[in-house]
Amino acid sequence: MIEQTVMTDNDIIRRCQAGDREAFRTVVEKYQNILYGTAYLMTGNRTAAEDHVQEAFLSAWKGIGNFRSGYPLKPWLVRILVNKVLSYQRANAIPMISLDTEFFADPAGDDPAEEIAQRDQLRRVMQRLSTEQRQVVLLRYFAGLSLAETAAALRRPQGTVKSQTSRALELLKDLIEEDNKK
Amino acid sequence: MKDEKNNSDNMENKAQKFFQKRAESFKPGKDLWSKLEPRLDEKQKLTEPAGRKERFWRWLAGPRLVAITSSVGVLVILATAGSIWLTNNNTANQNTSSSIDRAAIQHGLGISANYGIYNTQGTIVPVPTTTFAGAFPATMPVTTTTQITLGAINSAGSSYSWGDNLVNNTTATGKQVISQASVSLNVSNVSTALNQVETMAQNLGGSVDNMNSSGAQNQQQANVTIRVPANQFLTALNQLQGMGTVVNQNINSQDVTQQYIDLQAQLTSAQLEEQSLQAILAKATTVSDEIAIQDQLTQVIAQVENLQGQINYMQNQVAMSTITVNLNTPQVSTGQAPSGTLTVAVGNVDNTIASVKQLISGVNGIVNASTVSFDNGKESAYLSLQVYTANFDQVMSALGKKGKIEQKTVQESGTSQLIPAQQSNNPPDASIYLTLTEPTSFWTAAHITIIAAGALILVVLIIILAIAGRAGLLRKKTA
Repeated sequence: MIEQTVMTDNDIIRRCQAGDREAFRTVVEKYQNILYGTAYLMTGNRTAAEDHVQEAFLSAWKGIGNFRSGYPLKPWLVRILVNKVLSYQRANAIPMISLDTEFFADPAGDDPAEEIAQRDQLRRVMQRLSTEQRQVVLLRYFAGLSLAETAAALRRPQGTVKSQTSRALELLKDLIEEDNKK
Repeated sequence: MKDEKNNSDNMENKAQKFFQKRAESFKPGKDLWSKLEPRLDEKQKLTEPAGRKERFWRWLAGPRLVAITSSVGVLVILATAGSIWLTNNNTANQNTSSSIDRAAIQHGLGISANYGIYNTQGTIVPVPTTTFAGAFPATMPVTTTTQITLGAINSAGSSYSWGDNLVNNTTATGKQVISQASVSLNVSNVSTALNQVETMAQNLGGSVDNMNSSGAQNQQQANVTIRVPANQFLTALNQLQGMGTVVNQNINSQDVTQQYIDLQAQLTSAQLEEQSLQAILAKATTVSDEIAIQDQLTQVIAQVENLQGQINYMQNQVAMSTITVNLNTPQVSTGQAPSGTLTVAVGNVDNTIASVKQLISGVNGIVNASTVSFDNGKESAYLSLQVYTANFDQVMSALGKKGKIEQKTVQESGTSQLIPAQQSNNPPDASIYLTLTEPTSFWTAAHITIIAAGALILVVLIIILAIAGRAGLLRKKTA
């Protein structure tokens, strides 16, 4: 199943590299939610998150010619996005936004109650973590990147990412287990 | 160990499940692609990390900014205070190099010069070479090896504003000026006045050279010659005026620069001759040669001593001014013209001099002498005026209105016989001795400089803070 996805991605990448916009549209539609969620959880701001996602896709489109086929697309896109967000936050001295109730309440405006409740739970979970732990958890489990991919995206040593992840999981253990039992 | 790893893997799976279940609930706006597609062709504007400029501002913001600006501020204030201190310490300390520096700085001297200064003994005290930015005033030619002293006066007779109370002394071009004055005073008690003159001369660092008095108790008169340091010349005259009514006063400045230079040249030449004769004498082989050379040498040595004596005398005359004071008990005689002394504090001395000259020429009077001096940054002027007796009261009153009267003495005419101003064949006979001073004000240039510097620093600080604030650099970072 996974191999098939990679193969499919490879096809799409080749078409994108040939300048096929429709192929790129497929990429955008496939990964926009995960990129948006990551950006949103990093910035806490819908507009900023959307802007970052757009910029990340634009960079991907410009740089897709250099993408080496055979590699998965998602970590590459997430890495571009994380770079965008972190660079922007560094350049503008924007602090990591606190995960307060208000911004988690209604990010899309017209979500079902269950989704709102899930996001609220996510907020409570994330609140327990430090900025570094939040970023690690976000990329590892939310965006689904591997340990190496997460370390590369955050430009941190793998050992650091690993220890930050396990400390974060230790903190979140009860909440996650409780939720998984449901 | 194995259990631990399983446990950890298990926890990772659970976490993955937990987060990915929620990942799908985050959705961007519905038409992301429609916004994105038109931009695929545009030149991408990347949100690059902070540029060099931005990084600099971020580095500067916060405590660093405050530390740097306050250090700069403190330095500026110290520098200003230092220069003001030098400015204010010049007068009393004429014979030091700092007064030279201060004077030079005040004049914006733009040369590297070897400065020297004449002390009270008339000997040149060298001052280390100092370089100043700026340009020398056009009226004061100075070469790189010129020795200067404070208290220079130019050929027009007005002193350079070097912050000292000066009338004579050597000038920027090494000018040697001998100042002399004679003052006739009417005093109520000649003996008391004699004592006052003597005390004054000693207080000013001078001495009494000659003194004689004659006459009965109420007809007594005395002549006294005092020597005061050149830089105290005007002070001495001012003080003398306060001891009685000035009947007559003459100030004479004699420029002896040329004679001085000639004497120096002759001395150098004679000294060289003396040296060569000594050398020849040492090599003389016959007694007759020795006698001949010895004769010549004796003459040359006498010449050297003579020249040295003349130079010493001249230096002494330059360094110490001579004032001859004539003291009389007042005698009101018929036909004597009135005279008055007046000291007025005015806002602007230069302007007032101009208007006084205008006033005097308007009544066909004469301005005998006009001397401007600077003391501790304060300008003052001394004017000796002659007007017709008919205009005396009117002129005295007009002069009094030029500013605030600080001292006024009038000796009335002994008769009602007045010479009309129109009779130009008779010279004006009533004397007025006018001193113009600037009032001491709290708002000196020094204060204004300090306040202006402070305000400037404040404005710069506010601008920097405003720029930093706009760039969002002062926001408190929160984790």
